[in-house]
Amino acid sequence: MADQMAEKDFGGDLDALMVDKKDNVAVCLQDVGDGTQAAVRLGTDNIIITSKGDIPRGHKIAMKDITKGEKIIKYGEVIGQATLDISKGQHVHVHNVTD
Amino acid sequence: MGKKEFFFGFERDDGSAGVRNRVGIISLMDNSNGLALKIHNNVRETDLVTDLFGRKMIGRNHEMRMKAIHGMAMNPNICAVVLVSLHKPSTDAFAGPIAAAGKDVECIAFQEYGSTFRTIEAGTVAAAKLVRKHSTQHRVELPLSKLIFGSECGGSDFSSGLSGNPALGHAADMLMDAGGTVVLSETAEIMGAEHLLAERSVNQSVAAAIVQSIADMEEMSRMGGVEDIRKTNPSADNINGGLTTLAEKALGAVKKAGTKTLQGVVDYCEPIVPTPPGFYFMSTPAPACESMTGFAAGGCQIIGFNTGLGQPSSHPFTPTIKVSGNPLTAERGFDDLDVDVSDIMRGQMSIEEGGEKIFNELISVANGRRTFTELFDTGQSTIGVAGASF
Repeated sequence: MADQMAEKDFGGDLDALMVDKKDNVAVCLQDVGDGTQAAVRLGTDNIIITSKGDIPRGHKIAMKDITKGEKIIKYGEVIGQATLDISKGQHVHVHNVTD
Repeated sequence: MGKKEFFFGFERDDGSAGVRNRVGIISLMDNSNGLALKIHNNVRETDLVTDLFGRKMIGRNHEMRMKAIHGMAMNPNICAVVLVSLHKPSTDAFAGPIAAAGKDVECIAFQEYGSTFRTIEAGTVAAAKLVRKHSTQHRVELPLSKLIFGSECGGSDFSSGLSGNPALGHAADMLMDAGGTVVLSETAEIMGAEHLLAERSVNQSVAAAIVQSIADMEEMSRMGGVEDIRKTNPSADNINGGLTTLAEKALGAVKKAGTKTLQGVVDYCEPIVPTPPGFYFMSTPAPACESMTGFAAGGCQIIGFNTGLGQPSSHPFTPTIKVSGNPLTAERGFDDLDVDVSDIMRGQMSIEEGGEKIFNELISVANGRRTFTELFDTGQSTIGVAGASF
């Protein structure tokens, strides 16, 4: 059921959404392929970011360079910390983030 | 439009304020639910609370039930109550404290009548007289500091943490900025974010209470046979869906109650005393009906309920504003939907704009605008049972 949204394009040109201006990640609203000029929404602003690698829908994309040990911020809150250096546009998930 | 600081509600003798002026029909035992339903159906402007169990309960469950029923009877949306039960000792046990607190109460005990239809008749006449008596009370201008707003979510999906919950959180912040109170619930759902809520607590004892409520829930889950619910979260499905840590999962839910300092932690179905007003947490089971029954018993007059996939729950005593940020849920005609914020997911509405839309609806509903679930009369009250769910 949770995947009902994958079956239909509702987002128009929007690729990802940032919840809070303090965040250093955005959440992809659709699958974003490697090298995409992804349109990211923050409030009423649109930000374009180039993806590095494929990022599935629902997963996070780095909005800036994040160094190893740095906090991952989503919802304006700390959700974990980087276990590797993550560059802007890369996939942010269990392979490079821990509690 | 100017800043909203007031609403029009019903003033109660104890200083609280209702957003509705309804007579509550409360069944005190499972065996009386059918009688209470008939009485409710016979009289307009009544709201029905039924529940399972009610007989021969012991220990913590007995105490929870007593608090829950008394609390719901005292909810400021309810101007008077009709208690329906098998026998007089049970109605009297509740009626005494309700009457002592200054609320009109009538007792309808089956064994006093010895007949299903005479019981229904007596309850119908009693309810109608109470509605008629209280129907001359009119709304007066009251400060928003009188409002206690429960923030709920259910049927969550991908859209919930990204749109509906943050928008609901923004509305919650707007209400608290105007002097109101917001309550978050569902202890299992905040597991993983308790350290953040502790950091946001007004003092050490509140911080300790929020951490303790999670520890109690985990202990109860272990007793129920779930070895370690923390280890199973986020689940493999969650990770496939893009959630990385437990804190991330929990924060998606916590976000719906805004960003203010945590002023207190309240036990399940305990009265929420908003001194000072602001952000409170009630420790409740996670299923929506059980959680919202806690809100109603705690004195919440309105609930905001964000859903991704759609969810039919509402509480019969507490108007429940349904919100969704999922464009497909909105498009396919989710008929409970009071506030559609799916434009956030389309990039055509900011989270703040969504929050303002929800806040405006909250004020309208406080002023008397009916929610869809009120009109459909589909509300359900369920008092949680300790050890049965988390």
